[in-house]
Amino acid sequence: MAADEVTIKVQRFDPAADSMPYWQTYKVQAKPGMTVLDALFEILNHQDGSLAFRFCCRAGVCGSCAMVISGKARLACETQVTAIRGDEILLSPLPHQKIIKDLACDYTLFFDRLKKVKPYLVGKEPYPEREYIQSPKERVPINEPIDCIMCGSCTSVCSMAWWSKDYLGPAALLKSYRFLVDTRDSIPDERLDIIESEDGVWRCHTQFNCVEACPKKLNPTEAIQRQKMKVFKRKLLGRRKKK
Amino acid sequence: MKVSSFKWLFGKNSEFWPTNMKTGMWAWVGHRLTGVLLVVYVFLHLSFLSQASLDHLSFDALMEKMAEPLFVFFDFLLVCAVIYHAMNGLRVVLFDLGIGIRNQKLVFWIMMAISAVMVAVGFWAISVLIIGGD
Amino acid sequence: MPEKRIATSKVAGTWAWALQRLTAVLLIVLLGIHIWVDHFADIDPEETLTVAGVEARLDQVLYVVVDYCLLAMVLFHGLNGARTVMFDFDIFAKRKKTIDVALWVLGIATLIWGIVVLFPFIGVSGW
Repeated sequence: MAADEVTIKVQRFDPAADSMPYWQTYKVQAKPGMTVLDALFEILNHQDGSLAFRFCCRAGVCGSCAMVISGKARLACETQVTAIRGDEILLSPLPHQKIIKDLACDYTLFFDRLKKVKPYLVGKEPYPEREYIQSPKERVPINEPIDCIMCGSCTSVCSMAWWSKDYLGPAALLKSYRFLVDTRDSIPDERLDIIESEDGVWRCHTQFNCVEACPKKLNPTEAIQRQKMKVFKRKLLGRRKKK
Repeated sequence: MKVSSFKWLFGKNSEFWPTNMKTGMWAWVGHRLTGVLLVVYVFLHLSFLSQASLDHLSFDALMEKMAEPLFVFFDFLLVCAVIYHAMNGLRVVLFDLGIGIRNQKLVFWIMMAISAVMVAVGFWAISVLIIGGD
Repeated sequence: MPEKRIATSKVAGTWAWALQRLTAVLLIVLLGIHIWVDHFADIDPEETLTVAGVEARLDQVLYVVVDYCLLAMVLFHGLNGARTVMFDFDIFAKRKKTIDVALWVLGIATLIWGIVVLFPFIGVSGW
């Protein structure tokens, strides 16, 4: 075995043909700077054309290639092959999602959850001629949550999101927070209505699995905790009157 | 996809446990387990007391039985469970107040250090009680 | 997936959470008093775990109040905790109302039981 050869074990599963997922081993020649995604391409192009996986930007922006790499949810395009400790690299799809084939999962549930929190900006009237003006200071609260690339890692490792399919999950709640603290948004009350439920913020029990999983080092738990406080304060003090 | 329940729970690619169990998750698992245990204990505790209200002698006899080493050991375990549940619960309350979320692991170990001290005090107190009670 | 299946009472979620936290903090205090008075306060060690010891402690009105508060809070905290444990799993969440009612009945019945249980000890030498 060559010194720079790496063993990659991929969890294969084709729902149409297989009854159970199984592991298949590939050997890839490691090159300097090779990412796990590069290695997957190497396999796809030269060894096994039937391997299925998702990718798009190859630069950690789109969140398509999130998968479980040696036991931890990571982005394949941002993980160096040499950075994985151990003899072999284990690749499996994000847990608790329906597998379409091999490493590609069905994100329907993930996006259904996301849609529930209205993941878009609802502007204030009167609408401005051009863009909404926001000062650098007003922008600070959304600096971090805006970095979410919706790769689905956090929601797929959240044990509450597995068991309760109605739970919004960390990704959707982080998105909700991102618009809740945005000064340009005009429907904070409606957003709080959506998350104020036992399948909303109250299902979170601060396990911090989402924080461990996030490849962008964001903190969905903190966003959820802050929203809990906002919901509770509103409950205690009553709704703000509309101006 | 059909997988045997054992494999589903403990297999290499188990879907039951989070992929990468770390401090926060373990803390929660412990919290749940001790929580369920303590609920059971509360009902046990009440039934012992109702025993006392019905019949004096059997209560005193029961309590003497409780002074046996095995039950004292259970007592000690109970103390440990209560302390863990209380201290980790305090940690969760801190998070709810927005304190220490970014340093959750540090907060956990600080709480565990406090718990360790309390458990040591509890152990000492129980042993003093036994020696004093004899 | 169904479009919308959120059948959760919005009131229960927020207040259950708030009361769970409130009782948690109070429980730490009350449980501290309970354990201290039961085992370590200045009472004859020979009688700590006897009927006589229990009666001696329960002669103090304040301690009776502490015990009853402790009972009520422990029941709320424990049963609400059990409720959370159950609702975290999808199977139970479909029967939220039934479980809610069952837990309230269980809690109130246990509270009454617990209150009655202490009657023979309080302030009198009945037997």
